[in-house]
Amino acid sequence: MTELGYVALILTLLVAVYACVASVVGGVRGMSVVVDSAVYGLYTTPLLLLVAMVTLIYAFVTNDFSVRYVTENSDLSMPKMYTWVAFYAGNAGSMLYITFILALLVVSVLYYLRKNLPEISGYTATVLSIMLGFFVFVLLFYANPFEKLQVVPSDGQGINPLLVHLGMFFHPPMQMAGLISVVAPFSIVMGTVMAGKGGTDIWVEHGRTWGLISWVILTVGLMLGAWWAYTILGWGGYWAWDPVENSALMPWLVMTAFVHTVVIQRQRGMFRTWNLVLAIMAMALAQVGMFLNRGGPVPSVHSFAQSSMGWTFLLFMAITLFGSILILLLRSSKKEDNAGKLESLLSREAAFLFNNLLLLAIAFITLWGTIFPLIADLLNNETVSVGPPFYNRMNGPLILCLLVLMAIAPMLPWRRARLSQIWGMLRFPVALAVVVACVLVIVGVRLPLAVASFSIVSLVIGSVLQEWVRGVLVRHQRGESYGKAFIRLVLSNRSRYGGYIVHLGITLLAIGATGSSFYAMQEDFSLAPGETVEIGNYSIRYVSLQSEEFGNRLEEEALFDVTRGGYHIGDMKPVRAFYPGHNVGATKAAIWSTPLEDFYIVPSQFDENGRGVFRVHVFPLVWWMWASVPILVLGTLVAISPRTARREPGYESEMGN
Amino acid sequence: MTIFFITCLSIIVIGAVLYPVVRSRNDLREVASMDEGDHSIRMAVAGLSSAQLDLAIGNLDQKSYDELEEKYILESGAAGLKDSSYQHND
Amino acid sequence: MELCFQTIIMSLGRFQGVDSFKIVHKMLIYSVLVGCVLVLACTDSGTDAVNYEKRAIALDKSLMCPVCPGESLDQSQTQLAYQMKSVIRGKIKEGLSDREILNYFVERYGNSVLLEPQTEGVSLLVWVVPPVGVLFSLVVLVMVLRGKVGKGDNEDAMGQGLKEEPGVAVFLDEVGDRGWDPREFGQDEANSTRNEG
Repeated sequence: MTELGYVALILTLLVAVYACVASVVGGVRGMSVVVDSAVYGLYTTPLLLLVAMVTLIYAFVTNDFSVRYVTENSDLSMPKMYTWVAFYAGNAGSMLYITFILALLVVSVLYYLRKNLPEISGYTATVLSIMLGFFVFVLLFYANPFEKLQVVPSDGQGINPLLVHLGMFFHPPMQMAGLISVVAPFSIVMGTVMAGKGGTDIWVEHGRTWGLISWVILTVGLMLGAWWAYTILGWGGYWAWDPVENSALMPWLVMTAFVHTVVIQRQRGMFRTWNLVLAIMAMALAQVGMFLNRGGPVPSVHSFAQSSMGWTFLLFMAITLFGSILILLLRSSKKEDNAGKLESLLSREAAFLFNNLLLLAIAFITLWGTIFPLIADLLNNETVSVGPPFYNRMNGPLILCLLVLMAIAPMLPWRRARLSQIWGMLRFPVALAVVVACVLVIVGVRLPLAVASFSIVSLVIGSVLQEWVRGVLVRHQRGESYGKAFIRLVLSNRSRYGGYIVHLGITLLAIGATGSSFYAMQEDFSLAPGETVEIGNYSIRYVSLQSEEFGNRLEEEALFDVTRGGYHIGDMKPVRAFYPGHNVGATKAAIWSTPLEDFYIVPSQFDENGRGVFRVHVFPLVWWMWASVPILVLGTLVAISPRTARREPGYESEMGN
Repeated sequence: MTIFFITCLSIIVIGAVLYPVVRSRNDLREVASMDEGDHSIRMAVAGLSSAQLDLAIGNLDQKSYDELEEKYILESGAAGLKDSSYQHND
Repeated sequence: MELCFQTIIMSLGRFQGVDSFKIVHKMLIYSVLVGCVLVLACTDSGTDAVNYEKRAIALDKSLMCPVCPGESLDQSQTQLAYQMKSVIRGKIKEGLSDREILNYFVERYGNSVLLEPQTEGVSLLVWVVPPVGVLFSLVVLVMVLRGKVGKGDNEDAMGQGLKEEPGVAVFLDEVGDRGWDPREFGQDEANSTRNEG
């Protein structure tokens, strides 16, 4: 069956090459039929890649060890469920998955553009077919998932044990989809530039829609990764500034900048070239991300997808980057005259500019810290590590400034603001922030950074609340009840209020991050069965230890009886599994989660008597980080949802003369 | 079995690529402009609605609002179309 | 419920339109700036705690496990990591300072064992380049903006003729009718007459 998959890949490459040539020839010669032919050809690629993916999955599910990739990434003792997703655990399989998602994006973007902005759809097809062609080319010639083994082994080598976890079903597919989704806004931008319309605003609304789609997929991917790290890696952290994590963060930062400045372009025609550059930058960073993921030049916890073909991605990134800039320069069209001007540094436009500056500064610092070990090695032959302390010190203040900006910017008027206006707008949010700071200090929360962070979060919440109330007021004056006004307000200004909802989601994220970063408790205990210890409000009794042997591992499960402040909570069962084949231990923490705090027990080693060393954490407010994700998704959906024009009865009589 | 599927896929691909050529020979024209018009009206409505809110709460001055209103009216194509584009939305 | 809403909204309204704001707002800006400076000054990536274990954990978090890719001693579960952790606790009891303990490990495993790069040699570059880069781009931004900052067009944009075209009325109706007066929402005279700006 895998031969079918391989042929499907070959067909895809042929289609991509044909589509590229046909769309260029058809575009240049004005033959729309030829362009259509290219597009329709591309419409078949999701089917082709689905077939390829299905044959690979089939090989995994049937334990077909004649396929090298299956042998390298599974074994007979792997639980059945995981055979369905193991295919994206390694390099070649994850490439196949990414290419499939890319094909889906190709079809969605082209279909969308042909309906909404047909004049660039041909050129966008060219860009998309080149992207698709590259990935399939790499699959066929550098990372063939269907390669056969001469001698069929009786069992496979098995997957990295850390991956046998629920998170495997969600984080990798979402994260990889996020990285490749940057192709959508990028191709729209490049299509516009190639069509000679780079100086116009025709693409903005669509670039914004696809930018937001890409952003939300990246966001969910990142949050799923944070959640997975929190539950599986045993040390309760959700973000370690690991090179692979950073490589997913950087495109996200640039996409955030992009979705903000396109709003300015839509309303005032400003930042035209800048937005084009941002889209190109996001694509380049996503490709750098793929390189770091697979090239392995910097050591990372994510080393499971190592290969030597990372340099191919670096080369592709360089070609894309320089090619795009070249096209930008060669096809620079005359800008439309109606561009707005930046009239004051105290205006919404300027605030969005600062937003971009901060986001890009964070992205640059993250990039610098990530590749610095390589640079130090090249310059001085010295091995240097750049860890969380660097990023916290450098990015921390910038993130705080960004939060402050998030509170102020949406309230600023367009063009020019008078100081008196700003004061008028800020009174309530600032008052709220000050009140919150005082309450915190009284209650005992004294760390300056934590107080600052919570106060700034209150600033944001205050300003969003204020804007909402003002908007409701406006509608109420038109005669709507408050309830109806609230709903109608959101529905008639979806991009703005969707944005506010997303900002509120970010504040929840900030609350979770602040609580767990500054007020976490951690203690190691050595306990024998029957012993009890106390930490914080909690009292835990180590009841017993159960060992169970499976085919490829030994699992030891400890049973704890947990009480908090006198109330019996129940049982918690942290597990430690040891895989002799890989010589690695994996722990599954027992987590008891409430909106106030998470109580977290991780086991390390046990001795013969059942005595073990346990690390116990209390993480305040972490729950809010995960709660923020549905809010972020909801806000994005509101912001992209299209508004259907209302049809009032009787309007026909108003038409005509 | 594999050969059968390979043939199927190839036929689908070739069919897709040739479909527009065949269709144009039969003189069918795609009517994309209606949808496009409806879409730009929706976009313009959204943008202008936002601007009205800004005007009401004081984030936008009247002159700027007027400019934006003109821009969105032109963008929506409402002017100069008389009743043609609206009729098609029935 | 409606009454509650109205009270909140009325009190918000009272916040706006105050005349003697200048002194208060200056004070606010200064105190915010001072506050920011204080907050940033308090940013510290590590403090010497009296509690030995807290110190030990802090040190665990600032050293990288040499054999695991990208994990700190605090995170790692390997044998070597456990050994190094007990060495750290031993040395704290002996009375060595944080710096001395870190140097001990650097001598054995090289600079790469430190998670926070040093401030000398090549590592200095990692600390210096970001602030310099950000400042540089700020300067470039200001220079580029200087050329662009200016007043917007002030001519009358709206020709009355446009509004009378058929189809436009229907379009405006889609958007929703306007008919409110901004001044009803507490905007003072100064705000509503800023159109001349």
